[in-house]
Amino acid sequence: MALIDNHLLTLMTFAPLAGAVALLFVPKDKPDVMRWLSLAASAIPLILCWPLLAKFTPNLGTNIAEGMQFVERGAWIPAFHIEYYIGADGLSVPMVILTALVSFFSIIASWSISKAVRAYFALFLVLETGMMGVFVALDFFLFYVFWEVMLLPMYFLIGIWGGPRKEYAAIKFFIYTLAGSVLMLLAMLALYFANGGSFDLLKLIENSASYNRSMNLLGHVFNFGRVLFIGLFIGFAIKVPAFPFHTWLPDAHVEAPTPISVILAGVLLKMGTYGLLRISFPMFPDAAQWFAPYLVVIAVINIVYGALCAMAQSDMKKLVAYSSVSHMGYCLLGMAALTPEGFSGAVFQMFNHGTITAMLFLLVGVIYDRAHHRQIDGFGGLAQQMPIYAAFFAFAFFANLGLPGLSGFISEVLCFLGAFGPYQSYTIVSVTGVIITAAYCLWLIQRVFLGQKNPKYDTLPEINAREVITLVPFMIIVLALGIYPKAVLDLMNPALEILVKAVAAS
Amino acid sequence: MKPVTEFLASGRFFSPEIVLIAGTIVLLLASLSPKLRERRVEISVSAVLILLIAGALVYLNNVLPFQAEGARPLYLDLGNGNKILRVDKMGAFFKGLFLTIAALGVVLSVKSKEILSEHYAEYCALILSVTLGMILMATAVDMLMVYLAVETVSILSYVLAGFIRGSIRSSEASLKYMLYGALASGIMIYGMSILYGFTGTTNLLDIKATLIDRNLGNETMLVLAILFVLAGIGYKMAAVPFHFWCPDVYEGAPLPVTAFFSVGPKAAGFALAIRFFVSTLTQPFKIGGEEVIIPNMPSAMVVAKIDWVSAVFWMSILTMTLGNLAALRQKNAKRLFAYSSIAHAGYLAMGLTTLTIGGLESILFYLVVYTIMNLGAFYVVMLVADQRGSDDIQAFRGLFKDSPWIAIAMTMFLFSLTGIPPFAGFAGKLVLFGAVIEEAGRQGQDRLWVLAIIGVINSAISLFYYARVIRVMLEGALGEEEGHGHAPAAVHRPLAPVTVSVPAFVLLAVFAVPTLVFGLVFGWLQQLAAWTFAYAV
Repeated sequence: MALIDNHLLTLMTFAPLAGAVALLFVPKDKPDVMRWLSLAASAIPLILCWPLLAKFTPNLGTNIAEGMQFVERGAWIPAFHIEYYIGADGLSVPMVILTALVSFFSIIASWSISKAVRAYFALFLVLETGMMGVFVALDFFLFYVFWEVMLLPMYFLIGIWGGPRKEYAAIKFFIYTLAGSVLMLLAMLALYFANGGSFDLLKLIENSASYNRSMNLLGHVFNFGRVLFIGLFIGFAIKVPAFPFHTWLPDAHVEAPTPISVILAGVLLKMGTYGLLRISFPMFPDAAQWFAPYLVVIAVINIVYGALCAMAQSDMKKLVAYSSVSHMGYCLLGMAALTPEGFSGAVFQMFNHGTITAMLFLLVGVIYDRAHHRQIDGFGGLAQQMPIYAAFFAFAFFANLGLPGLSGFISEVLCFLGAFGPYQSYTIVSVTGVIITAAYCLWLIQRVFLGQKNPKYDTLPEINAREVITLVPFMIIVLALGIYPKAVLDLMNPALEILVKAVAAS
Repeated sequence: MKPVTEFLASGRFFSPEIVLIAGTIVLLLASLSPKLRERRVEISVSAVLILLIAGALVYLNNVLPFQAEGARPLYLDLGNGNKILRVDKMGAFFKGLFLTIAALGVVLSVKSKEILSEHYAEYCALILSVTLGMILMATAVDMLMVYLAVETVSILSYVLAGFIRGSIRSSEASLKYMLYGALASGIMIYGMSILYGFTGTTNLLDIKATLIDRNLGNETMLVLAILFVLAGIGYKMAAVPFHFWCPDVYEGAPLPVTAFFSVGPKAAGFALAIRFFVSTLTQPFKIGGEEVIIPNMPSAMVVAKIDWVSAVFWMSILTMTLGNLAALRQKNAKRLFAYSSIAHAGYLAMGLTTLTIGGLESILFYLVVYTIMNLGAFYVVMLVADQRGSDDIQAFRGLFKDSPWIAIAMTMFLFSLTGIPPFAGFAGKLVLFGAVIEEAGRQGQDRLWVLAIIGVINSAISLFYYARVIRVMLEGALGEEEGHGHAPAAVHRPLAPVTVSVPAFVLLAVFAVPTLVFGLVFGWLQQLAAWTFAYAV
């Protein structure tokens, strides 16, 4: 198995793309073949997670470059020193696993897509390749290409298979992200020339001290590193999405079909926080320290404002969308703390939010498929009609509100622990977010499942086997990591400690 | 006898031009015969053959001689010591580019319904002679020759714009083009005459030497003269504020001609801009690959303190911003691409402001990429307009369902024009913005940051209108009549399906495949551009 040994990450990244190409050759009248083929293509990365985990050594090396494993490197466009350079460390591995997991189960959740099946699954698989690529790229150019490539299928997946306002939502998503990523492009080029022509992320990080210098801009003197940090931050913050760049998210989530919402919330949002941790923080430690107090403010706004918005929603999916804004705020809080606990909390929260929010969107999709609306007021007493569904729903929302024993609790506590030292008062304010979260989650459960049963829904069928299959793995993970978080924390902590040292030591 | 023999000896280097002249005459003769001129395929094949021969001659006589060690540029000398044309690598590059554009322009028009069969030979002859004019624009080093070349291109373009005989729109386009063109070239020759008054020569190289010797930079009239010449060149580039003709002409002209205009004369304008501004009004900083260090000057400097760079800087900002903003509201595909091509002229002009070799290379790089993706987009517009009888954006409705291949190709061109990876347009923008950013890091060039930031924001804005076309193509993609409310189904009359014949499919692939491949493998394009400037400009 030399192929798997030497090209593990390449296989994981490009297997879905190969599947997309293979889809083009399936006869038109065989939608089931297309579905199974897509499932197989997205199963490859998931299966390969096993050798990935088996061979991964968490505590390897003493700096970021030494911690990189499964490295593959080759010249791509020598004229610009662009390389095909990929690798993974304790920060990437959880994200890669999350991507493989969420994509695979989203494919199962996509089974009911019946229009333009080939195009749907082909775009979906291209999207998976783009996401994987972002998490393993170690060449800035490659990172940027994957980052942008993922936009194209997303635009079509929302714009074609979405809800009533799909065109608006799709273009809003696209424009927001592109506006952010063109600033990233400028920062990338500036770094390229500042390093004598290199896109090698690890080399750019190694030279981080040299960016702490002044630059002239229209007669004013600025700090070069901070200017670039801001440029990159806007690009990543739009993706997270951090306040005030979050307005694309509710639209995109509400209009996107269920499996795409799952991908969007489960994986795409993490690309923003991943980018901050992989690129911005280690590359500009000085700027990161300078910006951290502002980042805390943004994080608190995200947490509290997001939770309050969620509470005000009458559409279930929009509620879940705003709850994502709020929960990504915990990640930002943990990161802004610049402490080992904070970083662990942030990355663990990225993983947990990915699995929990995937459940939430899948569950909202289940009810939407049956009732064809998601208005919270329109339901009531559903627990009598669909008891199993109600149980799943309650589990997922308890996970969302951070019930002890479930994974979300651990990561939220870690974020708060990390942030409490440096930012006591902000942390106290943000803890109110937890209370508001509990309030809207419980209130939602109460309005939808308890009380008077709406006679209109007397015939609503119970959750079916396929839907249960998509939910159960996430439940197991959420429960298991709630009881034994060490499984994931041990994977990433050594890498994050190195990262914290790199950022905080300067 | 010496001038004559010298003239004949240099003929070898001008063989591509001579072939073009001969080809034009042959095609014009063919157009006189009622029997011959109706045979579109044969005529187009022969026109392409002529262009291929010219291309081969460019390679043999303009490229190969420069592969030798220490090869220097040559000049066409009128015998009195006055050099009028220059044979160099940049000229060879542009000759190759123009011949390619012309060949694609001919191929695009084979099936065009707007160009009647009885005029087809004429059309091909016109394309060939415009190409000759563009080549002269790109190689001229004498103001008289520059003016003649510009006028050759302009006058033939007026004829091409009015090529749909009997169409009022087409005639209007032609007349507008002519009026603006006459004004622009009048201003340009006025500027040239002032320059002549200051320097006593029409030769661009001598002008440079005189300006350096006498350090005339602070003369108001001289600055005005430069701005006047910029007006003439800007008109060819379709840069703001000399762009007013562009949307109307693009809309009125037949589609293959519009496609040709959007790349050919624009590229020629940039070639001329490089010759005039960079070669003439910039002091060399690299000669034969050796850096010439001028004290206190980080890279290059303008000749005699004539600050043409600021003019181009503002022109670039205005051009990309106004082009993009105006494109947002267009309902007609040709007008949309007219404004889009104005915006692209703005991006390209960024390369001029850097005063580095890298900036010039990026212009060439972007021109190649732009040619492919823009011609591709126009070809799709043509396919749709010919079969659906309308060049409104609404005519693209439901294209994803009716003819997915065309829609997919169009999507690629549009994303490429926006500058999104993995398409070629992204590579072009990377190189262009890279050149700007590299120079922005140097002392005293920090305003280039502003240019770069405005440039990328414009790229993001451009997605709005490019994606609008995609959105229209997506309508009804799932085969259902969707009740949006805002577009009642009754308003939509059923559109004819757009079919793609095998040759059309092949031609589509000719544009679409490079649009993808050049986005993934573009090192060689950079090397080509670098080769072009591998000695002093």
